[in-house]
Amino acid sequence: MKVDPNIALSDTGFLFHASTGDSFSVNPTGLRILQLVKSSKTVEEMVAVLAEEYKVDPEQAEEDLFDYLQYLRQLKILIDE
Amino acid sequence: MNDKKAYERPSIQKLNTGLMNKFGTRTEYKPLTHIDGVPVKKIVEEFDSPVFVLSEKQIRENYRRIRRSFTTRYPKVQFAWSYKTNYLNAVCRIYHQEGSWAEVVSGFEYGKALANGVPGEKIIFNGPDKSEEDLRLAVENSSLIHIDHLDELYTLKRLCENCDQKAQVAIRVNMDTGVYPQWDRFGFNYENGQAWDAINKIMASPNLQMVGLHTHIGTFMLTPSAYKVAAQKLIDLYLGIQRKFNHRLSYIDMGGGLPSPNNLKGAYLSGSDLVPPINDFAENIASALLNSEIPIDELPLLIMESGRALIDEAGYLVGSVLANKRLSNGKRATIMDFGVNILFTSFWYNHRISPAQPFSQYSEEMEVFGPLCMNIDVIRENVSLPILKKGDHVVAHMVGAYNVTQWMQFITLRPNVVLINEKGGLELIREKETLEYINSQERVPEHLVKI
Repeated sequence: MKVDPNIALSDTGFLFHASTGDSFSVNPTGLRILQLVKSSKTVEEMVAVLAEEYKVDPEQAEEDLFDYLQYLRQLKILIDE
Repeated sequence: MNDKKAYERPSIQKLNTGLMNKFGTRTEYKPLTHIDGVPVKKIVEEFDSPVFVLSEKQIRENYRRIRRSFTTRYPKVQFAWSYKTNYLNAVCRIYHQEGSWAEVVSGFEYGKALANGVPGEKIIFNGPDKSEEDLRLAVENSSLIHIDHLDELYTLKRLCENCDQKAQVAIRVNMDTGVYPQWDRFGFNYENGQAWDAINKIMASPNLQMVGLHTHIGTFMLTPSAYKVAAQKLIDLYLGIQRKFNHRLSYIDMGGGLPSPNNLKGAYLSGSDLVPPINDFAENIASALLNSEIPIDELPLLIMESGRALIDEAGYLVGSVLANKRLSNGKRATIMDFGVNILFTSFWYNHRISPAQPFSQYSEEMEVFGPLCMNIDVIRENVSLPILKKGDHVVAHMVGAYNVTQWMQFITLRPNVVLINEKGGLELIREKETLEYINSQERVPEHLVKI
């Protein structure tokens, strides 16, 4: 799993898909997860980071993470390596 | 531990610059944390979720504002509270305290009005379903019986043959006011002469006292001038009665149908942009009466039977998020603990929904579902709302009209209804249903007792 190389991601959460022309806005948690994906973290590592950095329990973080990653795949923002 | 950041569910939103989409633009910029100064959280803690909340202050303010629209334009105005819009006794009594009569459409509602202490002569009995017993009681109490069809007229004539007193009657008149659809299933038609025919039959009946004329041209009317047409047609009948029988009617009842600023499904504009001000309706009705041939000192009483316009804005439904999920096409789905079972009006309104706690500037396009295991249970098909998580509270706006009368005991039980009184106190005005209450109405045949 990696972020499509055609995607430009700003530090403020603006995301541009150069091959489709679509643009998106992500919230801070969504941005953090995309940064973690870019740094090649596993799902387990990402859950641990979220629970460490945010006021959220790991179960909730994991549930939300799975939903988010699945949707990113559907939007072709994440692709399989 | 304390320097951890606040958590918000991760969210990504596609940007559609320059184009309209079916979700519309974001509408919520501030959470609705309090209703009439009472924290929503406190209401949920005390009365559970979901819970209907009615504001006494807003009910009274709305009533006074709308009544003033008419009284500043016409000298003799009487409002009659439309029971079917919301017949919780506490609600009805607020209107009666404000001076409203009662407008009822069944024996059940008639009984409620009497039990609420409304004098019989201040109850208007409308509708196609009045039993002989209902009619007998209404005659005895000198209530204003608005005859809907000839069968009712003949029944009433027969009942009154043995009565000591005359029945106080009017007829409901339906007519073409230039709007579609024309409501012609209630009452007698003006254009084809049914109404005049019924009037003549009543005037020829010694036991029936013709006291007024009634119409109700539709619901959620957006064309104020239609009321002018309707008033002119009733005035024509009024003058016809005066000419032929030298009989002066006491009142003209223009019914209800005035809209609230709710968001109609299928409308391009929001309710606040679409709905004409009540003053426009009042102006059309009052000018038709004042400009008619009726001498100023003989003007009839103008009765209004508004329901929705008076109470819709004073009602809120507080609920909670049960779950978040994603539909097959990636669309966000939010499941609330209230559905079409109790928010019946979501079949025809896009109710505004506000979160009841602070939120970030991010929003999601979503479909909002109720809790029922039925596909029809959709509160909003497409709406852009702040990011909501399980357990968050939300408030649906403008639910005061028709919900606590048309709600269904379907799949689950009906919730508490709470009134915020003028001092900000919370009063339970209808207790939530229990399994025991529902079961107490059922009977199990002997052969089915043992399973």
